[in-house]
Amino acid sequence: MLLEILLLLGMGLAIMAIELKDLVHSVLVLAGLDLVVATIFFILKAPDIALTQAAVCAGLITFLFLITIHKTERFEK
Amino acid sequence: MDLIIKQVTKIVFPFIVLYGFYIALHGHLTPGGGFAAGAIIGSAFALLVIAFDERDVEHKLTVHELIDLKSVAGFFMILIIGKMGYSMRSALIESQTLFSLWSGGFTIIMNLAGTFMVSSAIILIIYSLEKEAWKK
Repeated sequence: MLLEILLLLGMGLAIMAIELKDLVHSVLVLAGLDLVVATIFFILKAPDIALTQAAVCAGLITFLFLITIHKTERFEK
Repeated sequence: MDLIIKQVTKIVFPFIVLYGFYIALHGHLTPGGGFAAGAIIGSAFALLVIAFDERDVEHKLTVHELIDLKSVAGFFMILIIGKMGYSMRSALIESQTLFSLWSGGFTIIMNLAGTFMVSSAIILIIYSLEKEAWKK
C-alpha cells in the first residue's frame, strides 16, 4: 500500500518537474523525486542503493543543475 | 546567500563530514562504502561553496594540486592494496564478523582510499565550476 502511494507521488513530482516554467523550482522538485525514489529503494530492502541515490542524485546532481542554470537562463520560454 | 543558510551551514558542516567518515569506517559491516562516503563528504563541501562566497572558501580549500594529488594517491592505494590482497588472499583479506569494527582485514583501508579518491574528485569538480561561475 505504501509502495503504491510512493509511486503515485513520484509520478506526480515527475510531471510537475517537466511542466514548471521556473527552472530552479523544477530542479528542487526533481530533488524531491530523488528522495521518493530513495525511499522506495529502502522499502524494497536495498539500503545501499538508497544511500547512494540520496547522496548523489539529491545532493550533487542538484548542485550541477543549479550551476548550469546560473550560467544560462532561469526561465523557460 | 542568506544569513540563515550561512549559520546553519556553520553548525551542520562538521557533522556531515563526520557522518561520511562513519560510513567509510563501517563500510564492511553496514550499507554504504567508499563511494557513498565520498559522495556525502563532497556534498558537504558543495553546501559550503553554495552558502559562502568564493573568497571565503578559498583559504579553506587552498591548493588545487593537493586535492588532485590526493585523488591520484587514493587510486594507487586501491591498486596496490587490491593487488596485494589478490595475490596473498588468505593472509590479508579476512572474513568479517558482525558487530566488530576491526575484523575485515584490509577492507577498511580500501574503503578509506576510495573515500579519499571520490571526495577529492567531487570537490575539485565543484570548486572549479563554482570559481568559473563567480568570475563573471
